[in-house]
Amino acid sequence: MLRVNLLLQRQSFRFLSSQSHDLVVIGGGPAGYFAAIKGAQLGFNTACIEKRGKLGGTCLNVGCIPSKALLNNSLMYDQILNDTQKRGIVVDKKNVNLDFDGLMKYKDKVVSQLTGGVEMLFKKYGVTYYKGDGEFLNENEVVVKPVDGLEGTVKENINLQAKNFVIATGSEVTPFPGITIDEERIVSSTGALSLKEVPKRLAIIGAGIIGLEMGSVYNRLGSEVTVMEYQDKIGSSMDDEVAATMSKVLKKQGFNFKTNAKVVSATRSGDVVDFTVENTKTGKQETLQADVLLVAIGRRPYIQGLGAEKIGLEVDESGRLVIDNQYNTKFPHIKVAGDVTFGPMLAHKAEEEGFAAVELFKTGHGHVNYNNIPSVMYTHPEVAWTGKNEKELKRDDINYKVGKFPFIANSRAKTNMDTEGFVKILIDAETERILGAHIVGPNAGEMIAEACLALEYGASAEDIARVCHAHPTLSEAFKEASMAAYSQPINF
Amino acid sequence: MLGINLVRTAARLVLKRNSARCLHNSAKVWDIQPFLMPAMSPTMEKGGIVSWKVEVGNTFSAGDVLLEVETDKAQIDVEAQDDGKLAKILRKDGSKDISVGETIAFIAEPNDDLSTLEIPEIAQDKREKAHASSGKKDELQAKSSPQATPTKGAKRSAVKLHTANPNQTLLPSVSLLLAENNLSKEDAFNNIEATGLNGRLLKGDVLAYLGRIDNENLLGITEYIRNSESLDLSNIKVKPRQAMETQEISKEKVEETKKEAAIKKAPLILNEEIILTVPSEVNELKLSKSLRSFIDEAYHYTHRASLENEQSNYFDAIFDELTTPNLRAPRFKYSYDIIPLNTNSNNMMGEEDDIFDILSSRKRRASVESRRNNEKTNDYLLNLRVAVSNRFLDSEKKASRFIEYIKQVEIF
Repeated sequence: MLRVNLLLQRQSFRFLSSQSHDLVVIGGGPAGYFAAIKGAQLGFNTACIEKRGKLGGTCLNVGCIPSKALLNNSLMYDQILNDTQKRGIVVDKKNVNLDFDGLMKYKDKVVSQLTGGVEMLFKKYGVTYYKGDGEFLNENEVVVKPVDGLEGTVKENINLQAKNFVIATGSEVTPFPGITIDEERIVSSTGALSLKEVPKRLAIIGAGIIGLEMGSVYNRLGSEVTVMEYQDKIGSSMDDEVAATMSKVLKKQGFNFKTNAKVVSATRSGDVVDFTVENTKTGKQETLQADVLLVAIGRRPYIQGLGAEKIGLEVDESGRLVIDNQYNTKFPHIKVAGDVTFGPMLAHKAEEEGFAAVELFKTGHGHVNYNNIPSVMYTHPEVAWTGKNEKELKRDDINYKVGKFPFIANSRAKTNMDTEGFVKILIDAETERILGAHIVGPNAGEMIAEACLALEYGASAEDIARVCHAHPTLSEAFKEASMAAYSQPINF
Repeated sequence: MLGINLVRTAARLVLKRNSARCLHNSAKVWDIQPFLMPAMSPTMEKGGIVSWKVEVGNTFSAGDVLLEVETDKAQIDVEAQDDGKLAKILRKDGSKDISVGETIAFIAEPNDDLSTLEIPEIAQDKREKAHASSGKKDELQAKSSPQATPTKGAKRSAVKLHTANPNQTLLPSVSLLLAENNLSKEDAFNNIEATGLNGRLLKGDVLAYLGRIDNENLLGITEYIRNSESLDLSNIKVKPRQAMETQEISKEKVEETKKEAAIKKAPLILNEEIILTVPSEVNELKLSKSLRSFIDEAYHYTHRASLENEQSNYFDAIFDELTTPNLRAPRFKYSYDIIPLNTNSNNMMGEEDDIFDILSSRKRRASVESRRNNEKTNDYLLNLRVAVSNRFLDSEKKASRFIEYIKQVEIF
């Protein structure tokens, strides 16, 4: 006697438990974790869903942080080897050794400390953290599904209902058509951060920030680095003069650049990668070989498995979720922040947006100034800029003036024997308001903060020049460049 | 709130008495100030006075309506920007064709004794001429009230100027410029429109006010910067919905699409999960055997039977057969799994109705209880997947009938 009893006819039976929150943030990267913590601080019952297993997103796990760990320590290694003699320090080069595993271990330690730190912050501010894969069921519900093999993942599907959502699912490496990334010999930025050994020959596709930073790391550790760039200059959106300077500086450090270079094909054969490059001007092809090929042509928005299309969210042709100027999707209670939508793919931009999106939910007001989002490249010397560059000002027919000051004329840079680079300030010719700042030089990444503050408050070059800057510091170069912009510098 | 620009100048007024209001050593303080014909819109050049709303000698507070002004477009109330006292009216009610910037009255501080004040009458003439030449500046500095809004014709309407925020710390460049030009902080706050964040006076604002740079350039660069501050969301090319879906499917189901490469459109897949409560004496093998034959029957039945009502008088089996293309061709493929659930099924189901039960007003509680009464049962999850062929129009109908058929049945 067999009795089959029909109990449930739901389309999916898996929703075994359900929770409700005021705010659910999908993604625990810079946009997501900022949104979640800010949401909790503003009194929302907040949850954050992350499937990576660690918070902090690309930035903390496979981006900004690990690369800076490698950049900083490889620079130190390089300086110990090559930059001591003139300073009166005697180093026996034969006894200076690189422990590549140690370098990597240190990097991993920093990453785990920082990601763990974010998790602590979630606990501190009462953000509920779901380790799992979030997918929209409809515009009011998200299901968190367990991720196979992930420690601490949710045990079963959990159905989350919320009044408000922030989508912060970030981005992924853009694959190169026709080249298969195996993360061993043909690697993305992720794989480049975890190589097993220093490659003898490292080839890089893309002379943007990621390519030049990773190139710097391995160049210092002894790789022969070749960077191929499709454009006619390196440094993507850098000011042209800055890009030209960096090209010169990096060549001096040992980089090989191939501009106007189109990579036609790349295949791994055993422990080497063979690739063919075509010069887009001459049409000449050459076949080259490297031990590791890094594909660093950018990133693209990531919404796989989110169910965004299921609930009718719009996606543009580049895969970005479409938003309005309040970060709203077609549903005003679902906002989007970070790499998955428009604007530069930068961690600090994502943070600002996550913050603003949640403030918009709470108060109806949020602030991000897209004219003032700094970019930094942590090579040596560093490169940093904010606001407009000269090309943009020319394009927009703006009457501007330039103030430039070289670090060779700055007393601190001279003292430190670290004089490569300059500060360039662009101001409106009439109002003298600062329109942009471009820095190549030691600690440019720190110095750009001053430019950001000035830009945000509409300062004129004179306003910077009339602020007392400590002596002797690198920041005096910034002051002098401002003086040069509207009047004259003193020390040059 | 309508803010009218009170243009005051140090040059034309005589400092008559010492005042504690003097904050800046090089600035002059006025006891009495000319009140100029306000520009109610950037394009206004002349206007008339409908009527004064405050009598001479009376005090007014910031925000009080001082007078009604008429332009060729509208009649607009002019509100006081600061507290004050109306000292003298030069242009009476009904005056017409008064140029913007012309002195129409004198105002004093609220506590001033009018009898002790000397009202300068001619001193302003020169100054007015000077103003006529730089008239544009005044126009642009004045703000119009919402009901005025004749901004369509305005060239620079995109830039919204702020009255200077009186609580700001002056930028070093601004503070120095003011001092060099014998302007006090109050002068600046009252007279210079700010282009900076939250009413911050910038160097360019003062330079434009002083006539050293062209106001148009100030407004131009301000507009340029403001426009770059927001994300450029113009020209978004939304990916067409279908393309999006197929791409999504191709991403997730690469293998499946490879297998079915011949089929151009991705097949529709229906999923159904059904819970079966089976007496414990029936083991899994027995259940699966019974289910297999039952599902097989359902498969054949749904293919064989017409979608039309066979009982109908109008039903003609031969016609139906003729009009149904390729009658015996499979409309769908199915596969299923039987997963034994935890015997103690109450744990998994939870005690409370969840949102689905509430929404579908399913009385699961009842079924949970009935299951409890019937203690010795095992629950199985029947996971049914139906891949619908897209070669026939009636495939989907037949497939859903197949699912319905399986859902409806009870076997004893």
